[in-house]
This record gives sequence, structure tokens and C-alpha cells, in this order.
Amino acid sequence: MAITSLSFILFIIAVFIAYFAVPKRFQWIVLLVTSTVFYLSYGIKSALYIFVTASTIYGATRWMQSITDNQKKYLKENKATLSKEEKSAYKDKNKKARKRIMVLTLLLNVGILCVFKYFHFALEQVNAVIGLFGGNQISDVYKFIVPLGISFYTFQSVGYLVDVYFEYYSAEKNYFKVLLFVTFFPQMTQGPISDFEKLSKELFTEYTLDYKNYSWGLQRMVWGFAKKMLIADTLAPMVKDVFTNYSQYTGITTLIGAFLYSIQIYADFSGYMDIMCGICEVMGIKLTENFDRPYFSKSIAEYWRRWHISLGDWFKKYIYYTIGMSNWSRKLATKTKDKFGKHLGNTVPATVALIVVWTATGLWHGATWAYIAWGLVNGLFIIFSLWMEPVYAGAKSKLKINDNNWAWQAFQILRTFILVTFIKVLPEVGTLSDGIGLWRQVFTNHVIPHTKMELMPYVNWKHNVDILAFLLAMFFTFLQFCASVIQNKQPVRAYFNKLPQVVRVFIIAVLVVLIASFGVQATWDAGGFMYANY
Amino acid sequence: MDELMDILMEIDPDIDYANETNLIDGKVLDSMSILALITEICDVFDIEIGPKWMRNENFNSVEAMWNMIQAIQEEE
Amino acid sequence: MRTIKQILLSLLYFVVFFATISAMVIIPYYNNESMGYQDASYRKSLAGKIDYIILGASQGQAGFIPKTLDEELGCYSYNLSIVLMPMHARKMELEQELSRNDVKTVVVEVSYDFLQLEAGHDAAVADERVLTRIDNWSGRFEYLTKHIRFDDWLNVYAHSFVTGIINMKTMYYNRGLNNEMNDSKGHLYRYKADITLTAEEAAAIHETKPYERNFYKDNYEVLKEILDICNEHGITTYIVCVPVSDAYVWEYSNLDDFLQWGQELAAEKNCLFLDFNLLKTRYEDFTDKESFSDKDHMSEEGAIVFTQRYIEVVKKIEAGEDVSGMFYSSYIDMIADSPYAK
Repeated sequence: MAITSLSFILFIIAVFIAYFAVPKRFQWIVLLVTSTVFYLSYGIKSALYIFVTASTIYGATRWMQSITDNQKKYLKENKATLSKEEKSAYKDKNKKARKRIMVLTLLLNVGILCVFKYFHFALEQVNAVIGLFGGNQISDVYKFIVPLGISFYTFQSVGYLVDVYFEYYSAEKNYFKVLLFVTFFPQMTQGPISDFEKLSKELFTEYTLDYKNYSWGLQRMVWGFAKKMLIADTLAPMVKDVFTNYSQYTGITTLIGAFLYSIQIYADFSGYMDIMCGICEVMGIKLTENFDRPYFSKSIAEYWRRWHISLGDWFKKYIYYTIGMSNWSRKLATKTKDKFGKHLGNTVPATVALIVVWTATGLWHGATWAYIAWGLVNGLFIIFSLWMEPVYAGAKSKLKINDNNWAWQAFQILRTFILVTFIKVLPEVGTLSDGIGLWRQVFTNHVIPHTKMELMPYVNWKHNVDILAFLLAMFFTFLQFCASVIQNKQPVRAYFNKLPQVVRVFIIAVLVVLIASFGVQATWDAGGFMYANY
Repeated sequence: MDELMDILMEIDPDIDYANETNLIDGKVLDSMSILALITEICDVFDIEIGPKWMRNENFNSVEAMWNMIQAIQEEE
Repeated sequence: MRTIKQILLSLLYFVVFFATISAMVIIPYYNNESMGYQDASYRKSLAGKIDYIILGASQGQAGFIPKTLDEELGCYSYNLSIVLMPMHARKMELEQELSRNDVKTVVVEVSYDFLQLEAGHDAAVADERVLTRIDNWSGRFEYLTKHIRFDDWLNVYAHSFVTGIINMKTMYYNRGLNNEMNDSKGHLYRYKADITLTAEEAAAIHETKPYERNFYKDNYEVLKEILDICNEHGITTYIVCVPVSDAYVWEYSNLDDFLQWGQELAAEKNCLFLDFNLLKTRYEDFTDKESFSDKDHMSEEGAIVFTQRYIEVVKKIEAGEDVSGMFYSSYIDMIADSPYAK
């Protein structure tokens, strides 16, 4: 069931009614049933894998928890009779057992993810090596239908598994609650990736129908649909055109196309988040935010703390800190500090961890060399600015640049936006060489376009419909920009809800008319959400 | 407590540690600083901060960090 | 309780505003008949006169010139075709015209992919136009609920609203005025374009599109029902394929299966199948330079020639002559003589 369809709207209305009609203690069951229905609407075969993940995660966490609980009980009962060595050995044995369970379950689930995502890529590389030696390449006749949301729900489940292993909290005893955690439909397709403690608190609390939640939630949903359909889907064919035909366009045309891509992907992904957060808000559930006005970031590092926040947090918690806190990393830190000083002592271990994180991030986004390169480029920018920090600080004080100066901040924001756009575009054009080809076109083609047709050949200037749709997309992008500026102080809805109800509903009705007309037309051509293939 | 403040001031002298209670959740300390901080604490206080202590609440303020250090020392 | 009251009030406001704004655009668009394909009133005014009907989609709309048919065949014809016309709509409009006219001849225009149209996706544009060709709201509601998929209602709404907005000026100034399409009795004048392929382009696309009989849902059944209706009324029926460009034919493979399909259908339904792509004079009559507006639609220049050829063939058939000598017997033979084959 496509999110931008009449069926989905009716589905959501049914979810809302069921959720508030049942006795409050069954509300989470409504969520579980509707999530199952949602997932099954994409095909039963696909559902098998998410079921396997949920079941193995449940089994593993319960098993590990029982070892922990038994250990506590045993140690308490035999506190007096056991020697320190015996206690230590017993704890070690249990730790090893729990580790084995965790690792096997982790490998199984991440293995499933890797097969679906990386099988063809891996085969390509194997074939490349075989080709070097002149052997017979393996033909790739395997067709996989990737289960919906596998990258998201696998990461979320594995996070839970690791959290229980590290004893952050106890394992959930109720299988169906774990199943809901894994399959919760608003976030299962595109995130946000949540941690079990926070999300379960939201999912298993009882909620009363509340007018503020209803109105704020619906407003957010409508705004999400507007962003997705009036901005992202309208710009999608234009961006596709630039990525296909940039070699025939001027540098400035290509550059504008790249900026349109930045607008498109933000509107698409954050629009989806708004829809899902809005749905949850109506039900009183708070999802973690995935975006915090990312294009207002002043550096690449800051950008990645504001874009797809839940993914960044996941990588930080489970990869960056795991590597950075490991024994060899700390030894490296100490040795480097002793030899080269404090700054390098901090930066070197961070660099190692960052290279791993960014290679993994690149791979997560796509199984191509272009995506790996993309990840590493992002990582290198961040690493470079870490290394150069003392140099920048020195330069700033010499040039008397004040960090609070608005002109300096504006410069940083603009610079970061341009940089982010260039990096973002790299793996989206096609292969790595296509991406670089697009960069080259922007920098080397200096032809000045003289007509709007030459400036933006991807807008269909001959048809009024397309011109109007493009103007609407630009108008809503401007609205989105204004909203971002306002949000710095308070959510826009805080101001919006000061208007009388009838005025608010009128504005929403106008918005819905635009979405149901121009938006539906645009979506028809554009297809699904951009992050839905992960 | 003083030793802890010394470590923090070395990491980033511009932060008002006395009043700041949202060092991690508020993203006041960045991830590289956090790594450096943990390495220093482990070195100076001769403790191992196990994964189960790696929670935001234990690092959000100086008091929280100090409580955590003392709890770990007691365990060992 | 108060919360529920507030929610219901907000929903009421919403429905009222949404309906009002939509109606302000859609109702005038549907009722004012200022778009070329909105000919319900015009056709009603011709009731009793029409005895010759062209029933097809965009290729039929572009290829057949009713005025020429009237002059040469002494009939009173009407071209009942619109772009992507769904099969259910063709049946509905035919039945409507049969109920108020004494129709003697029906031409069912067919093309290589007309039965593959997925109602809703490709044809939601056409579904919306069909709704605007029905002159009462209960009829429109009936067609919407019977023949348009639920998930496509939003597409129909979108198309209606957007077309209404874009054409607001036309609608309000041209209220009730019919444009040239009514004068041309349903035929659409298309401007010619030179679509000749270069040698490289021809080589790149040659036989990349296999003809397949993958008909969507009940399109084929409805086509057969149309032919049955014609038989029941004793109507002379021709199943006609309007010529497409040499470039378009060059792209396809397996077209003899299409020929076979047409001949089998005609035999089953007691009518004639005439594929004018196989006309022996096609390479002199139609060129990719002049005769087409795009790869599969005739320009006005092409339509003038095609309508003449159609009239010649039909006159011969009605005089009892055998016309098989005027056509190639297979696509393979026809394609062998294509300018791109050299």
C-alpha cells in the first residue's frame, strides 16, 4: 500500500478509530495488528524475513536475560560459599555464553541484510577479480525482492539485541511487544531507527484522545504530504533529467539541477518523517526526530548531526564508541598523546573510528563504489576539519572572526550547503565516473544561458500545467525555508494554532486540495519514496 | 572531583561545567571530546568504564560523571 | 466528549471547505463544455442524424475525417474517439448513440497496444475526460463507481481539478462555445512533425518492442461485447488499424501475431479486419516526414490521404469486390519494403 494513496489514508483513519475505540490497555495490540496488515500488503514472502528477525531477536534476548538473571540469583545464594576465583570464572563462562548468543544472532540478521543488499555487488567484485586472472565469471541470475525496510528494522532490532547483551535494560518478556517494536509501521519502512527503551515507553503507554495531539498531528501529516508531493515529486523528473543529460547542459544549469536535488531529497525524506510523526502524534506517540533544519548547518560534521539523526546516532553508539573505547584504540590514543601531544592523541583514534563509520555509512546507503566513495568523502571532510581545528582557531583569532557574527555564520551555512550538495549528488547520478562527470560539467562549462529554456531545460515551459507545478514547488520550498527559520524559536504550529479553528481548517483544506490535485499528478509520474528501497 | 574538572577543562575550557546538565543530550560535547574524556577518566582514575555505564545520563553533568566514577570504583 | 465534538466540528469544516473549493473548479469545467473533447451537448443536438460512427482512441481521432466521409460516402458520420479511450467508455458511448440514432456502420479502430491500457494508470486521464463527456451527474457517478478503480479516484480528482484550474480563463470566457473539434465532428487536427529516423537511431530501436497479447483485465471482453452489440443491431462493422509511421513499425517485432489476432477476431464476430499499415501503397501515401505528428498518430496531411484510401477500400468492399490484392499479406513482407530496411 503506497503511502501517497487513497487506500493508505483510509487505512490510517481506520487505525485512528480502532486505536481510540478499544480499551486503552489494548491500544498497542491495535498497533501490532495494523502494522502486520501494513507489512502484509507488500507481500507475504517479504513478511517472512521480518518475522524471522523479530523471533530470533526475541529468542536471543530472552536467553541472554535468563543467563544474567540466573547468574544474579546463583551469586546471591552462594555469596558466602564461593571464592573470588570461582565467582570470576562463573561470570566469565556466562559472559562467553551470552556473547556467543549475541554474535550468532547478530550474524544471522546482519547476514540476511547483507545477502539482500550486497549479493550482486559482492558478485561483481568477485567476477572482477576472476576476470583479472582470465577465469570464467559467475553469471548473476539471482533475483531478490528486498524485504521492505530491511535496513531500518534490522538495525533497530540489532541495536536492541546489543543493548540487552550490554545489560542496559532487561529483555522484554512479551513476544508480541518485541514483534511490535520490530514491525511498527510508521517507522519500519524508512526509520527513524529508535532504541528499545525510548520507543517501548511510547508504544506501551496508554493514551487518551486529545484535541491538541489530533490537530497538531494532522497538521504535521498534511505538511508532510505537501512536502513530498508538491515539492519532491514535482522536482523528481527535473532532477532525473539533469542527472541523465548534464553533459548537454551548461554548467550553471547543472548546478541548479544539483540544488534542486538537495531540495528534493530533503522534502522527500523529511516529508515522510512528518507524515509518520504526525500519525504517531495523533495517537500520542512521540517518535525521535530525524531532521533538525540540516541545511542550516555550519559544517559537515554538524550537518551529519542534523540529517538522518537516528542513523548517525546508531552508527555513533554501536560502531564509533565501540571502536573508540576498545583497548587497542585507547592504547593508540595514549601512545599518540605521549609522542605527539594532546590534539593528535585525541584525533588519531577518532580518525580510525570515523573511517570505519563512514565506510559503513556509505555501504548502508548503497551497494556501489560510488556510495562507498560518498561515505568516505563525507568522512574525510569531517576528519580533515578535526585535524585542522587548531589551525582554524588560530586563523580565526588572527582575522578577528567572531563565531557569533551573523555574516560569518551566513557564510558558513552557505558554504556547507554548497559542499553538502556536491557530495550528495556524487553517487546519485549513476556510476562514480558519472558523478565526477557532473562535477566537471559544473566547473568547466562556462556557457551563459540566455533564455529560461536554456537555463532550465528540464522545466516543460510549453505546458502551463508544468510551469504552474514548478512554481508551486518553488513557493512551497520558500514556505519550508520560512518554516525552518521560524522553527529556530518555536514550532510553526505554535503560531498556527493561535488562529481561530475555522481559519486553520480553511488553510488546511486549501493545502489538501493542492496536494490532492497537483500533488497527486506529480506523484503519479515520480513513483515511491526515495528511502523506501533501503 | 577536582581531577575530573581538570580533565574537562582540558577537553573544552569554554563550557560552563558547573551549570551544564545536558552535556550529551544537548550535544554540547561532541563525540570526539567524549571519546577523549572517557580515555582520560579511565587513565586518571584507573577504572574501566564498561558498556553498561555508557549511558547519556551518566555523562550529562559533572555530578553524574562523578557519581558514576565512584560507583565503578566501589564495584571494583 | 468535548474533544470528540471539536474533532467532528473540524472535520465538518474541512469537508465543507474542501467540497466548496473543489466544486468551484470542477463543476464549471465539467458543465461548460469548453474543452474540445466535451461534446455531449453537441452530440445530443445531432441525435437522429448520425449513421456512421468511428469508435477508437487517439489514432482513430487523428486519422478519420468525418466531413470527407460524409462527402464521399453520403453518410452522416461522427468520430467518437478520444485519447486513450477506455473500452468501457467506448461501449457506453456507442450504446448511447445507438439509442438515439439509426446507425448503419461502425468502425472500431484498433492499435498494437490499445488493449494493454491499464485503466487508471495510463487511462485515468481518459477516465476523467469520459466523465466530462457525460452530461449528467448521476451518469458520471455511475461510471465512476462502476468502471474506475477506487485507488484511481484520486487521480481522476487530480486531473479534473488541475485541468479546471489551468483552463479557468477558457471556461469562463468560452462558456458553452464549442471549439473547432465540434465543427470537425470529433476529429482532431494534428500538426505534422518530421519523425524520420537516422540510420543509427533505426539500428538502435529495430525490433526492440515485441508485440504481445497481454491484454489488461476485461478490455478484450468489452471489445467483443461492442462487436456483439453491432451484430445485434445489424450494423456493418469494420475493425480498422490506422497507419502508424515506418519508424514505429520498425521498432516492433512479431506484428504478424497482431495481424492474426485481428483476422481471428473478425472471423469470430462476422466482420472485416482492415489493417491499413499493410496497404500496398503505404510507402507512397505516407512518409515519416509529412504524414505523422508523432510516431503513431497521423498528421492532418496524413489523415486526408488515409481517409481517402479508407473510402476507396470500403467502396470496393460494398460493391462486392475483393480487396485483398490491395494489401500486403504479412508484416514480414511489408517491413521488407520499409525505407529503413535499406
